Amino acid sequence: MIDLGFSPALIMIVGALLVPALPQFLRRPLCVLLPAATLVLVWLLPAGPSVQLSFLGLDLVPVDADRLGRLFATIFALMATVGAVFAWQQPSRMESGAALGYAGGAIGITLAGDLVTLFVFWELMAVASTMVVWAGGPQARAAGLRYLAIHLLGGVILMAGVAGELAATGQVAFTAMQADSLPHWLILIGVLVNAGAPPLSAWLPDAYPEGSWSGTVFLSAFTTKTAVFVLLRGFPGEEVLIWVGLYMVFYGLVYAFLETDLRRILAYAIVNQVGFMIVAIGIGTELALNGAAAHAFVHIVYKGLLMMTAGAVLYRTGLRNIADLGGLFRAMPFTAGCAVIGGLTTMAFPLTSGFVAKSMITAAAEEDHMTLVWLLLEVAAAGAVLHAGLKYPWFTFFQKDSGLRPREAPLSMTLAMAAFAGLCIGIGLFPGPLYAMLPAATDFSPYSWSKVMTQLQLVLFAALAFFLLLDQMRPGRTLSLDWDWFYRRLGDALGKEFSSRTVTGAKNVERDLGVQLARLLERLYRHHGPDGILARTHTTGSMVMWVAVLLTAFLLLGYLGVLR
Amino acid sequence: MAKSRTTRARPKDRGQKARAAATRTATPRPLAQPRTLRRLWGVLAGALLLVVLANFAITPKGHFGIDGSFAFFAWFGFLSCLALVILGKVIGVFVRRDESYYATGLDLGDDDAAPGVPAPDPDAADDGAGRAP
Repeated sequence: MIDLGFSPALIMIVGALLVPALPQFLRRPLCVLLPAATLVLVWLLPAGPSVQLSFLGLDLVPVDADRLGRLFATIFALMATVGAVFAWQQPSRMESGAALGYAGGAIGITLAGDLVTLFVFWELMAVASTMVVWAGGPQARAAGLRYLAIHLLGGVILMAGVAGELAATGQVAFTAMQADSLPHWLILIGVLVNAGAPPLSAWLPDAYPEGSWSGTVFLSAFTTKTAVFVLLRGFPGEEVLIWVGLYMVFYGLVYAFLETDLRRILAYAIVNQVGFMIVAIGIGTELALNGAAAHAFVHIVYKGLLMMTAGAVLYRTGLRNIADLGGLFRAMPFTAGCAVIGGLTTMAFPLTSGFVAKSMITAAAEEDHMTLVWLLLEVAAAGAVLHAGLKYPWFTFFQKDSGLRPREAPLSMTLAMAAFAGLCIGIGLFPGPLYAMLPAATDFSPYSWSKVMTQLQLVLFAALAFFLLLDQMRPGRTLSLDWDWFYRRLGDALGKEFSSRTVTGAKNVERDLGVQLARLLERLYRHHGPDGILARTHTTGSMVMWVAVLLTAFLLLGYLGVLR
Repeated sequence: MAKSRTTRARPKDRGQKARAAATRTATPRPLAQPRTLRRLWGVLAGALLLVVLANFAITPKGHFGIDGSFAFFAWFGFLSCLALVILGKVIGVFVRRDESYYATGLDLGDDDAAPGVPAPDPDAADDGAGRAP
């Protein structure tokens, strides 16, 4: 146990500022070593609040390590380390630095003991992750801007909630809450925006696939899972989360079914799987919360693995649509094998990490006798073959031959994929160490004959349905309308209409004013101009005549006695 | 060295698509020989049969009644996927649009935009939302 005096996340955040300025031979190893060092420090931190400071009259606790926070900090640091190995060949300096800062922000959140610290790291993540999206190239600019706008909105809502909490209670401690007051609701909504909850879920499949081949690997890991972490600690057992989560589960399934872009399929699969975690948080029993935490842990690994395989395909072929790919297992057998392992893990196939985590969540719904929730979760578990489970690996690496013969992924990518594929299988075979890290002590055992058999029945028959309906699984190249239609299409059109109408209106007002002004000037000129009635010069004779007329009138009035 | 490989891979993005399409139509090769494919189907069928037959040996205790029925997870998994595909198809009817949907602005009928409104920027390819600073 050591007392650092600062959050271990700061190592990565300071590193993120330095890394872009360093030459390549320093930059690459630092990107790997800094997260690895952070991982070690996270485990050396003493439990409980270890850093406290007073700022603006608030008592802040930037570092407060508990079991849950340590679990998430561990997987975030691991992801950043392995992700940096995968991104070894990435030439973009901006992305290297931004990814490091992004992961640092995520780790900062897992160790935050108060809501203000949480908010600071939250915003840091929003900015850093946007830079990771932008590093994807010019085509990522618009999507990155939309991504940033949504996250800044979520951040503002969160900030309003934190401020309201401070005003109401004078406290900013980050502890379990309930959605029973306006500030708590605002905090919940702000966090759910980052989780990809409806109606603002479109940012995720919109922006993630626009990242570079390595950037998307980082993007897939941190934002949604920090939101899961905050919900786990802040809102365990909040019932509304069950329904929000179920919506996400089925939204992800249906939209992934309609999609053909490799990484967009995987992005929808993220929403689907995060939905599982959020349902579990909503159920809120000890088993369910353990299940959500375990699932978040293994999900980062297998989704990272799948995104890496998609990144390797993009890196080698430049292609990103399943319509252009197929049969790549001949040329990239190792990548194909890793994609299959990632797919099996997504389907929660026995002996993979997906099985040992997901079975906790379904068992929790079962124990609580939530019939409808349990049934829907089982439907969704079968539906996992429709996206990352079978659809992605099958159409990319098998099916018909596209004739593409790229080289196998470079060594750095291969190493990173091997590490994560090994973790997927390793945790599946030996779930003990993962279970030991979970927030609550558990004696849950995933491997019973009955559980293995029922899961195999579910997955294998779902696979049968997939192969029987193979022709239906690959829709044409289309995009799917989502809630983002309201800001991408309607908002855009309304904005243009507003600007067109206000410009026309302004022109009309300007023209009318101009006419009025011209008329006024003309009238003034007529009366006061050189030839105007009031400016005309009069002859002396007429002046004398008028004086004579006035005097005569005066005389007459005098005689008549009027003036007396 | 590695860096140059990366920079070589990126500019290919667009052109390679066309070339890949050409190769594909020229040499259409199935994933595997029909014999291998039949064998794979055989393996899947065997596995399916095995997990259903296993139900005789292991009877999972049901929590809700329905899940105690014979080979519940087998038919439930199959029907779930079927239902999800149908759901996807139905929703697809309403939400699927052409890929270039967001690239073109929404036409509200009044096209004679007043002078002074900037023309849509062709560079901001997929929408008019703006650009990175």
